[in-house]
Amino acid sequence: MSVFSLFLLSALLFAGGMAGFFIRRDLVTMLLSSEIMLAGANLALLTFATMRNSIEADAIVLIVLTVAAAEVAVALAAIAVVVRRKEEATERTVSEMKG
Amino acid sequence: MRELFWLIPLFPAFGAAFLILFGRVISRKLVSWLAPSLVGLSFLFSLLSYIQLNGVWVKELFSWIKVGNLSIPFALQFDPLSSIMAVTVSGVSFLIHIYSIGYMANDWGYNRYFAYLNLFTFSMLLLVLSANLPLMFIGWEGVGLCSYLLIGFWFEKDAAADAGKKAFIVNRIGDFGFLLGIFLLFTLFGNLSFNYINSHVSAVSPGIATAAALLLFVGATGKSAQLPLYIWLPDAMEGPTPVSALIHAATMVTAGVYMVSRLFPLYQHSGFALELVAWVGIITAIFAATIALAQNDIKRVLAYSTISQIGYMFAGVGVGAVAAGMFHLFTHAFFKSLLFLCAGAVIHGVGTNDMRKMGGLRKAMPVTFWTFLIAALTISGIPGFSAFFSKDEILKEAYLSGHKWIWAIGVITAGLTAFYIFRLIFMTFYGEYRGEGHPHEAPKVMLIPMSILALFSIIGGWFPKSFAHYLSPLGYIKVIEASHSLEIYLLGASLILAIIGIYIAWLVYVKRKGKGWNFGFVYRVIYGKYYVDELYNFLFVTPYRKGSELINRYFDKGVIDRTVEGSGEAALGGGNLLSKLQTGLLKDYGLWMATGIIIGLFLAIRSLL
Repeated sequence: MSVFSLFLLSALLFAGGMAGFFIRRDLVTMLLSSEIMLAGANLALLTFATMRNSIEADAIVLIVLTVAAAEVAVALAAIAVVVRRKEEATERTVSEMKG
Repeated sequence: MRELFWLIPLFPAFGAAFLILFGRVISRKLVSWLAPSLVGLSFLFSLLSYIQLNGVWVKELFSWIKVGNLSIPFALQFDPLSSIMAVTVSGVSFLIHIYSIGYMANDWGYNRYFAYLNLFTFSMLLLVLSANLPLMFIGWEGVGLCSYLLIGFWFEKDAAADAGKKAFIVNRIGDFGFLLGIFLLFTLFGNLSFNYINSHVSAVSPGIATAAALLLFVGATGKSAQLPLYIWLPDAMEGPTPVSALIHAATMVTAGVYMVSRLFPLYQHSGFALELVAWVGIITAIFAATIALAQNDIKRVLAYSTISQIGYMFAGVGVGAVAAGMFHLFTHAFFKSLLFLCAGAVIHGVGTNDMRKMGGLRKAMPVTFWTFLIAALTISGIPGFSAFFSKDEILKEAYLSGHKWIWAIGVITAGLTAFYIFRLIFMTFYGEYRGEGHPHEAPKVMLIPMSILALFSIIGGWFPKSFAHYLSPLGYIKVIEASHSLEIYLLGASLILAIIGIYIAWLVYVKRKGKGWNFGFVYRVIYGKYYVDELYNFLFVTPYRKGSELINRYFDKGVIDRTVEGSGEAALGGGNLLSKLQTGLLKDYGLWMATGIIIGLFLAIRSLL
């Protein structure tokens, strides 16, 4: 696989995730979309690591994965609470911060 | 004593500090011993220094202020002029401390009273012994503060609290001029010690010397209650009577005379300033004497009498006779404090200030009557009593220096003085008692200081040599010799008027018992004190109030309040506006973030390329 196709894939992943984040309304899908964006970013980082023959980017990717795992755990728990309280977990049901 | 005279003001300073710190816990008995004896020590040191004095002693204790080319040492000066003041101040103060033990015996603020009295004595001694103007100013302000504290001593009485404020504010007006005068003298001379200024006056032009002298004189008119700033002194009578005797008759109010005498070469160099001092003095003298003719409050009569007598002193100094002015200051300290102490004894005995409720006290209070009579004869200028010598010295010098009008007004004032003081005697001690209760004689602790002062009222003028001779080491006191026949003729004039004054007073208040003499309009104007207070109210107080209200309405409420409230409203409105950005929708936040990142990336890449 060429470096170019790898970057293209990572850009597609990121763009797709972003589009999903902005288009979809239910919180679970939005969470999923943001995970896809992270995956795209991770792929780009790994490609750079391979190109430059360096291990630093690999380390960053590991940290991103760890944080993402933790974030998913917290986010899913939060969504579970929203579902229990509001029947439905969409963006509109959690807009109490409106000024 | 030359090395120790600087201790004179420090004894009462220690007393004041001690009483202010521990006055709440120590007993009245201790205070009664401590406060007078410390002032007594000051008096002893002053007297010993006075006896040993030769020339001019200056003692520099330490360097007080040193900034750039301004250098002010904490220096005290003992010379003929300040020695007279120091002896008078500490002596009279000592006697009045003793008198106060009796007068204030039942007052709940006894210890506080003596703390203030000691503080006053310290400030006054500092004022007279200072060797430079800034140090004098400290004493000058100190006596003003004590005056305020002691006038308002019975502060639970509104009249007393108001009188204290009035005295303080009027004095501040004068002190402002005084301070400006000090600044001007500093820019002119670069050195503020009296000796330096007095020996270098010829280096400046008379015009600028006039400006400085007049600014300082504004301070003197405030402190010494001269026209136009005399209005606080009659109200100051709300304070305890011994305070009126010490501060508002014998010592503090003469500070202005002392200051002009101290800087006499400056006034002499100006010429015009000296002339003005003389005229302000003599006009105040007759003005206040006429008001005193019609007052019914025993202490107010004496207050106007004080203003009038200080006017005499200024007139004396103003016509160039520093020695005569200081001589009158010296004798006045005795007879005027005696008058006040006697008035205090009378008030103590009958419990009112109103002379219409007195009368016939001659039998009930014999000692007070005799001492009062001595003081009255003294102030009237009857030959043999001290003021006879000092007052006629002033009038003689005025006549000889060519100020014939000042002499004439002075002689008329002498007649008025004799009238009002004997009116007071006749209303108080003769006729029938018109008040309530039984008047009683004052206790011994009050009568003894009165008797001592009575003695000094008589012998205070018996100097073997003239006062000018004693002051001559200062170098600017001249002695004028008058021919004997002229002197007798001058003395005769004021003496005849004084006797006429006494006779009229007797006629009106003893023979006719104060009835059947009604001058109508003139009387009402004099009784209303020429309505000067009302005039000042109209000219200054009311416009000031009105102006303040206008400023309050338009500037305070309109500008300041609007600014404060407006800034609050602006913050609130801005917050409301900005809070619209908070939609609560995750997507919008995401969009802001993405936009930010894109802009950031764009800028970063552009700077790389």
